[in-house]
Amino acid sequence: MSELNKPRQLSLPLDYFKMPTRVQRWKGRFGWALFGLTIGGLTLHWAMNREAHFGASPGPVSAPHQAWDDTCSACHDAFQVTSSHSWAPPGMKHTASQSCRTCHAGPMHHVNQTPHLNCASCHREHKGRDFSLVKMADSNCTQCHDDLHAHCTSEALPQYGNVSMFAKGKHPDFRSIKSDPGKIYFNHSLHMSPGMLEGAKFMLKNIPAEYRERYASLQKDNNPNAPVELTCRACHQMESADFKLSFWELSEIGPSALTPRSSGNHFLPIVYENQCKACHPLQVEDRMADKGAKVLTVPHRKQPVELDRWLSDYFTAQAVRGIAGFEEMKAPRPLPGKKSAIQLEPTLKKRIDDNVESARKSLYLEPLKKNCRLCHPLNEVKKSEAGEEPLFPFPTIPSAEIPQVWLKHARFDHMSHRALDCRACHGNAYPRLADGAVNKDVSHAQTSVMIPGLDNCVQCHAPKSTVTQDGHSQRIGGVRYDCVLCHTFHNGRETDQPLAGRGAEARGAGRPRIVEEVLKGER
Amino acid sequence: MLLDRSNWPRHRPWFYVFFVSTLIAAAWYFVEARSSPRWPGGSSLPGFVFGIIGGLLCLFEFLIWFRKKVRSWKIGSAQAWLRAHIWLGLLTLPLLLLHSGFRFGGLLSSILLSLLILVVTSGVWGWVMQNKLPASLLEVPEETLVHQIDLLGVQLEEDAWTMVSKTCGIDRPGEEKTTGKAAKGKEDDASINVGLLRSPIVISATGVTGTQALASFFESSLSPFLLKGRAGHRPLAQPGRARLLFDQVRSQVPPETYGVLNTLEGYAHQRRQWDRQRSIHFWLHNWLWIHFPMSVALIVLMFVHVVVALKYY
Repeated sequence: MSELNKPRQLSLPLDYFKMPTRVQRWKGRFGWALFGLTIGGLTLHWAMNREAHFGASPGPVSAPHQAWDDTCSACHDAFQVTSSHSWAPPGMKHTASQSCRTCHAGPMHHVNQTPHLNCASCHREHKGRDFSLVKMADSNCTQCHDDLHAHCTSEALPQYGNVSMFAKGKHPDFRSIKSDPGKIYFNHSLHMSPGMLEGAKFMLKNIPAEYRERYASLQKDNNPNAPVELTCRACHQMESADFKLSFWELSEIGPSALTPRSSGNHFLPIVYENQCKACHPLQVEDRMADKGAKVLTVPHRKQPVELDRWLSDYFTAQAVRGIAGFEEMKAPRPLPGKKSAIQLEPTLKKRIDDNVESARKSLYLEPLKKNCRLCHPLNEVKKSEAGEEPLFPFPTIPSAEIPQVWLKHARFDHMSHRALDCRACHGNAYPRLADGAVNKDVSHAQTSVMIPGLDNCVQCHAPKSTVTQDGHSQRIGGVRYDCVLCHTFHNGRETDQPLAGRGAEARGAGRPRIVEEVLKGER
Repeated sequence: MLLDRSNWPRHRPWFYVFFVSTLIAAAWYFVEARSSPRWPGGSSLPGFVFGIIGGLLCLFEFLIWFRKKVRSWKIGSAQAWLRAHIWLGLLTLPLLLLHSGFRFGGLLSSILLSLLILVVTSGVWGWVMQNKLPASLLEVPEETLVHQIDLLGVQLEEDAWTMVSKTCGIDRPGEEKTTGKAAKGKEDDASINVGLLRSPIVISATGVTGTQALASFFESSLSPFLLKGRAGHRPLAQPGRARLLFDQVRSQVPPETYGVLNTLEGYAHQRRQWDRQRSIHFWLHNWLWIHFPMSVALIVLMFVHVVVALKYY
């Protein structure tokens, strides 16, 4: 018999329950390892960063503020609530945005708005380098504009309609100028017709040679006998260089009207010297004593009283220079006892006066094509209340008063719309439709404002959709239609100044600082 | 912690706490969201409140670690603690998601939210495992203490060697050393018997001739398998192949040794069960490798988050 003839027991040490399992052992090791890693990482961050924020930043700040990405205190007031929309825990209060105002004054939108929000309520930072701080979501605007009465102080109730989004019925009609207040007679339809009027023949050869090329280059048929056919771009350009003017022409117009570097999103102003003079030269007859008459170009931009003085000076100077033929006159022998000047004086004076009078007549009185009356209304002179004749018997010309900005509370960028035919928005400026048919809606009235309404904009600036009309499906919308596409919020002053831009002093920095202060984010 | 019909009544109150709290929180949040230009986050009133409650719940969740460490800490039964741990832990997820405004935010809050999701997910996974896997232990009638399997494996191998050496009449190098260990374990006063390994076997004291195949099989296959399980000899870990291997040995040895061979086959079967038990045990508890360390990091970073979030509110 062997020793196998005994039962065999399995036995364990008595303290077996104190021994951890493999899973328990590694659980503890992993726990301590992660604890160490976490504490180590936090310590490392504390040591290596200028300001320990431990990754609290919800994301990189936008590019304009990237210098202060690691300097939280440049913008944050410690233990203060940054956004007005945030709830303030007990013991904490909302910041007054003084840190923002160090660099941006941020004038308020309206004095009667309520509540007064701080900067971070709308301008959300930490959304990434490429995030725009001024491209706000509509909700930032509609939180008040959806119900303006509830967001205005009782002293001044709003005069504007509520807005919930840019769509018909949810956005009021444009408050653009309803009737052109300008004091210039101008008929777009006439100028857009070939030959300047249906059937009329104003041809290229009628334009002075020095200007002809400019207009000939704009039309297909540039034969001198071809009727002049203007396009929008003949007068409306956004870039000075596109007018292709010579140095002398530019000098005559001046940099205030044709800026050397234009913004590119607005059309340059219409000035007589650039857009009108080629076809409407301001000329009067200059009658010579013995050489017939020649044409005298008189300066623009002068009131009749100034122009009269200029004409008088001009003709007197001509007389003095002998250019006008006075010199060649044979003075009659003076009678005994009479001074020759007495005999000459009335003759010279009469000639000067005749020239001036003739010029006055052609400039102000006759309904000619090239005088002031063609474009300017004249304020006729009236007797005083006492019945006295006015000192100067000629009318005055009111200022043009053409609005520089038609949509005062909105911005419009023509360059962004360059892919569109001008007819898409200004169809009634054209006497003919794109297919050559007569445009029944063409505007002949000088007071017409050819700025389209909201209906026209929402063709593109609306949510993308398709509508079916007369069996045809038509795509509409798809282009941005958010509030800030057209509107700005901070109008530059404490009161409503819609035209004030980002350069307004009211938006300036709190105090000028040296470079080091700026980079450190010091206030 | 099992969740079935028998113990559902104990879970029911906690489920209601979880469900109703989630509903109330969501309702409050979405009412607030209607008047807000963006999804309210931690700086809104509901977001702030959810943050505080969620943070306190996280701290409570962590207390279960102390409860387990300090067994003398008799505040509620372990089962009650675990039920609260499970349901309040689940509640932290909706509360802290609402607190975050459904945004990951910056590095710190992203890490925190990721840790929270990992901790809750691993906890749920562990709960599912602990509900599903124990049924599999029925396949392991020879179940033992899982962390003593290696020690029991050594005892098994030693006894098998005793049988093989007596049967074949051989010794192996270093026997003294190995058996010395076993003898110590066997006769140590500080040990406890946990089961009967085998019944007595009667075999000639002089051994049996023609058992070379048995000795060879033991050395090359059975011994490594009994000591290390599947890692020691993979074919014996598969019942079908193990049967073939034993039949093969049986065909090469005299019939007197069949009794020993049958016992050895039983040992292999027992070792296979322990391997199975170890595998089940691993899946029952391996989620703790994620759940616990991530909880530690979550708690540490939560305190940092509280301070910096209030400072740069």
